[in-house]
Amino acid sequence: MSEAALILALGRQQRNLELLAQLLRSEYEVEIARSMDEFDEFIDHRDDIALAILDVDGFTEDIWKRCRQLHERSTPMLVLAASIPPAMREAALSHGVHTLLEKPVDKADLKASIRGLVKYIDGAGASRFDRGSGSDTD
Amino acid sequence: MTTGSLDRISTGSEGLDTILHGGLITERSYLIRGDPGTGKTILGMQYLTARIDEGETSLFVNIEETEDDIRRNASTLGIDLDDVHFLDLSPSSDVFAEDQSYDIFAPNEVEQDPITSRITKEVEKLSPDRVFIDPLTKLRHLSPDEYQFRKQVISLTRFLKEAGSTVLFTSQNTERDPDDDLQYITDGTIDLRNTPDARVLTVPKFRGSPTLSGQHAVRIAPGRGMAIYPELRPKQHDREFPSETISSGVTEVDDLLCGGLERGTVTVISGPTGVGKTTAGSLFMKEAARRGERSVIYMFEESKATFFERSESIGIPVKEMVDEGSLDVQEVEPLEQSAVEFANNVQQDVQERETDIVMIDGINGYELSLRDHEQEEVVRKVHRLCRYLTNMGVTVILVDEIQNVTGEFKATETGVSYLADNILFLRHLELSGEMRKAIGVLKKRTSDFERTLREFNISSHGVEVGEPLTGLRGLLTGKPEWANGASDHDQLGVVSEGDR
Repeated sequence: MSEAALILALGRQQRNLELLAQLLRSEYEVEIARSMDEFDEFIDHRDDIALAILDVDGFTEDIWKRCRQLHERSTPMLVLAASIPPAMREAALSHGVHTLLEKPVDKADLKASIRGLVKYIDGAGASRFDRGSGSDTD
Repeated sequence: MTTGSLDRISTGSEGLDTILHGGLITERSYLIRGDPGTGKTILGMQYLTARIDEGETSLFVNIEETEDDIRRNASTLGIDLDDVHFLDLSPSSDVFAEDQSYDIFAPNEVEQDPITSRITKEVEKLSPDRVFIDPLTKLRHLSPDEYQFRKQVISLTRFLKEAGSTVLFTSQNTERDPDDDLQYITDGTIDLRNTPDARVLTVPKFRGSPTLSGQHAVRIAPGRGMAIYPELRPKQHDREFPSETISSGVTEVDDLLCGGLERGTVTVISGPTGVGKTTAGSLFMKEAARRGERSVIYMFEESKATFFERSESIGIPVKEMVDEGSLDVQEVEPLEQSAVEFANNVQQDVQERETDIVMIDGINGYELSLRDHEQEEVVRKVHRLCRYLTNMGVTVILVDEIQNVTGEFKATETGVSYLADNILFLRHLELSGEMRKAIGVLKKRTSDFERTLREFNISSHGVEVGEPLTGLRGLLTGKPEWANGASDHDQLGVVSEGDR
């Protein structure tokens, strides 16, 4: 990709978001949202989000609705939580979340997961493009 | 900056430098261990300021307490940190107020790098001769495991050594995070401890150099910082002095002692209350003053004023002796110092001023007044002090009170008799319904002595001592009886010291 992929990070703790942005800004464009409203506004105005990182601690079940929306837009999601009980894992996966990581997360693990997800989207995009080209030629 | 691996650097405490045989070895790292409140930071601050006036550069890396708090505390202790560089790594209040808490990454991933890189940058910028890190164990919380922590500490100390710095750092030893591992990593350990009675310093490890063993005394005082008093090592002190007998100035007492007390010996004067022990000891000092010698009395039980008044009333001119400098009377405040501090004060006095006689009046008061008053320790410390003094040619008189006024005879009750080269004892006697006193010698290591008692009397004329009481039996019981029809009048003739 010629331009840095856009990552949208949602979380209640300012410091968490700062640290996340600090870690990722060398490779990606990072935007942060501290509330659901900010998050909603952002996804309404940007359709180029490559990945959403959702630090779900402190949010209500409404978060899964946003996951559904993002899933429908084919935006991959990575969920972070201090504890991931089976019910949460099930809810997250059923709403299209790709990866769940328990905090504190190892920086190297997080970066690898993000790279993997972004590559997956690139690959998926390429496939879609390939398929589209194919249909054009058909 | 000093160089060479065996160069020494002062700790900022004369006493600790003595314990370490000259101070810390440069370009090495040392751990100060101790519970909260034992004085670790104070020791570190004194270390940083020890040679700052001579152009040395010092760096204080404060990881917990703020720079402002440290400076304020230092100033109450009389430590001037104005020229000390600070690298303040303590958490700011923003962390609390501005929602700076986080849980997304482990603290070691977030904070360790900034801390180590800031230390590195500051050391590269300043090239400090002295670095103090307080507390280093904070890094433990920023390390994922023990191995990483040790690796971090080793790397940091190595980096500081290579930068030419001598490093002191503190640790927090808790049950959950014991700091034993740090002792293996560093070149030396200084242990600070508060016992119920005193502050104590020990040096369990010091690579590359001997140290003075033992439990050394520590005193922290506002305006004066931390003073460290090494435990006395009598063998390290020696002085040549004439082998001679010193007189009491009372012929009969000298006769009892076959000439007097030998210089550089320890004499215990024991007896019950009010029998005249202090007065008997003062005789030797009065006579020493006549010879132009100096004596010191450390009073643990009696006030200076009472002693002066009492001595003057019986013809011992103590005020005059004090004025002319032949006598120094020091009242020891109860619980003001530990036995090691007291011994240091005595040592300092002996080293700074020519001293011939030291009288400790008395052992019971010494035991009660000094803060570490376990009996075995007291006897051991009195022993060391006496050994030091006698090695220095000082004649020592220990006044030891026994509880029984009459009855079963006891030489001493404090377990110090084994220290004594000489034991001079005084007794109350009841004779024909009248209270009398007697003096005798129980032990004299270096010469013969008189085996009989003599009557001892104190009056406004001075000390009066009679002829040997050969006609009485049962003297040591306190209720003597005449033997072989001898009479009171025949036997108890006394000679006045004042009449001589």
